[in-house]
Amino acid sequence: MRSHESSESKTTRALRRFGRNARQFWRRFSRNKLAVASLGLVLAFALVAVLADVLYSYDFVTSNSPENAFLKPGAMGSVTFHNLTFDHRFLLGSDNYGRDILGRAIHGARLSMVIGFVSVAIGLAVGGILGLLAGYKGGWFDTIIMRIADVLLAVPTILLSIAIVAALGNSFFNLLVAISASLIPGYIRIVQASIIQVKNQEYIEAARCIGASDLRIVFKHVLANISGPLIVQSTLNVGASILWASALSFLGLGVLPPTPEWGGMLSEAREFIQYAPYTLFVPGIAIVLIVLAYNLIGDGLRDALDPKLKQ
Amino acid sequence: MLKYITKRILMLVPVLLGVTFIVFSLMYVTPSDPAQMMLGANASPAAYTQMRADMGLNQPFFMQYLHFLFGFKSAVFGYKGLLFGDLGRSYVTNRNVFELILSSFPNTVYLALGALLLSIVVGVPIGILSATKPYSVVDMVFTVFALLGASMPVFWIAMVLIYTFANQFRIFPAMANPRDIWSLVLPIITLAMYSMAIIMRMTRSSMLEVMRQDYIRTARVKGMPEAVVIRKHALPNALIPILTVAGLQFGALLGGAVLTEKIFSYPGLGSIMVDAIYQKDTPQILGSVCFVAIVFTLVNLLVDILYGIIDPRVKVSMQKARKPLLEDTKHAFARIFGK
Repeated sequence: MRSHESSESKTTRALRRFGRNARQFWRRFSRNKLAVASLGLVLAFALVAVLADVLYSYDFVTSNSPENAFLKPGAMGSVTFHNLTFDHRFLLGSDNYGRDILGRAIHGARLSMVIGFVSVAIGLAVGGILGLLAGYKGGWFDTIIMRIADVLLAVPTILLSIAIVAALGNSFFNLLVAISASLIPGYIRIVQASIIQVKNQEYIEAARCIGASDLRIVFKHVLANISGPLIVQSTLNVGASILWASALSFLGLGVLPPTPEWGGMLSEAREFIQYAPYTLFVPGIAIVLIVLAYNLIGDGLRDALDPKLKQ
Repeated sequence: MLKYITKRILMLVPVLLGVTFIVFSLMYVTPSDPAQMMLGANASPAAYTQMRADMGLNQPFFMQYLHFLFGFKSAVFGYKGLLFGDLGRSYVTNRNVFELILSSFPNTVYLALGALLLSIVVGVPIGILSATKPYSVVDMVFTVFALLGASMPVFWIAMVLIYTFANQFRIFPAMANPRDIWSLVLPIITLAMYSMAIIMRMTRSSMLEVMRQDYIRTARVKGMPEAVVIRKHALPNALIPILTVAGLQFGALLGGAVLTEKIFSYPGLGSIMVDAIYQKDTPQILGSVCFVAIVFTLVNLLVDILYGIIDPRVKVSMQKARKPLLEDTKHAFARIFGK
């Protein structure tokens, strides 16, 4: 038995197992066509976000050219930029400062993707670790952490982020802090509750009996069992963070103009919707699409990761 | 039951104290200087020091927090404290902070109630319809519609509605005020979008859950028409979690009205809060955020208690176990929308 196993190295076996799991996961996930399409959409947005600087230079989308204000989608304009004058086609029109809306939306995509991922990563890391410690250790630590989470959950999420940004001041970093902080109590709750549910089950006891360390039990057994709901929740949270970030920027409490941010763009478009409705639709539809995509992926992941639906 | 309610109310005290502490700390670290704001830019250092003393700003952090809770004595800037419902006057408008909150809060309640009503009236029937024909075209259409409703930014919905119905067709005004019901239509639709989606999805999953049970099959086997099975047997049981979610949504709507009110220039608590934040009007911010948090918590508690009253199973579980059934509903809810 031993000799047969050692003919393959440990890593190859792990890789093979990973490949098998991944294939199985993909088979289940790809059954949901909407989710697959959404994944494609998110990847497309990500690609555009990565290539933002190649497509439109940041200086270009943040510099004003008043003579080009409110050009209709597809109109040509003459732009003077870095002492160079050239013709430029405004594919999706221009805003009140004569800036290219498509270019701004593309740079906004980069910002939104970063906000979505980073704030969820921070929220998951901090909330996850606190919830894990609280649930696994129990006792006074559990009580304190859970009471703090209760307190944070008692303030409506949007208000909490508004209050944090108002207190810390407007900046990209503070926006991230505010959104992550609003996500943390939710993660503490989920992780703590699932750990309490998992930790008294027999297989954990069995693992402890054969002498597994706390760390090993937590990572190999407990986390493996709660990763499904966490992944689903995080996917949905990425969408929610993008929504909150745009709402805060819309209120002027997030990223400040001229930084291209979808919520900020909408806030500027607000006064001009009557003669330039397209300024309203581009960033708005971008937000709806990306958030919808994350929600649909979350839906698909939920079905794909639920072991009860495996058959 | 009474014991449970008393316990829950007692448990609220530390939570609400914690809320006041967090909000106060946030305002304390805010890099604004109210004394400077009051005096203007070119005040003498002596006047500035005097002003800081008058406003109680020269005290250490913890003393200031105690003042905030229990009151502060000063000729101009004195107040009785949050526990006595008095936070003094706004730095900007010089109006009593809580008077302003209490006069604008009903306006926010109208909006939230209207939105809640609309989301129930639309969401529940559609949810039932979806559940009776799961995975059909109708169901798919409404599923996508619900997900769209949950994915659209509130402020964007508001702007699109204003553009369409106020600018293009001129049916509804773009600004809302509580005395004109016609003007409330657009803000109510805006605010209802998200909760409508949630209630729709919750109704669908709750109905599906109930329809799978044995007593429904029994009813069908007895030859009962499907409409009667749904109305008399499935719906009453399915409604319990729906009502809970609706109640929780009401709390969320009160907080979520901030953006809607701001866009429709509606004189509610949300507008006051945002304006106070723009103007760095510390007492007004403190008062409104604490007020909303307290109302939000109380509404959630009320929902918890009502849930126990309408569902006899919960009453039993409340007496036996520590974890009320509501937690299950919340989890089910989280499973649907991750909120």
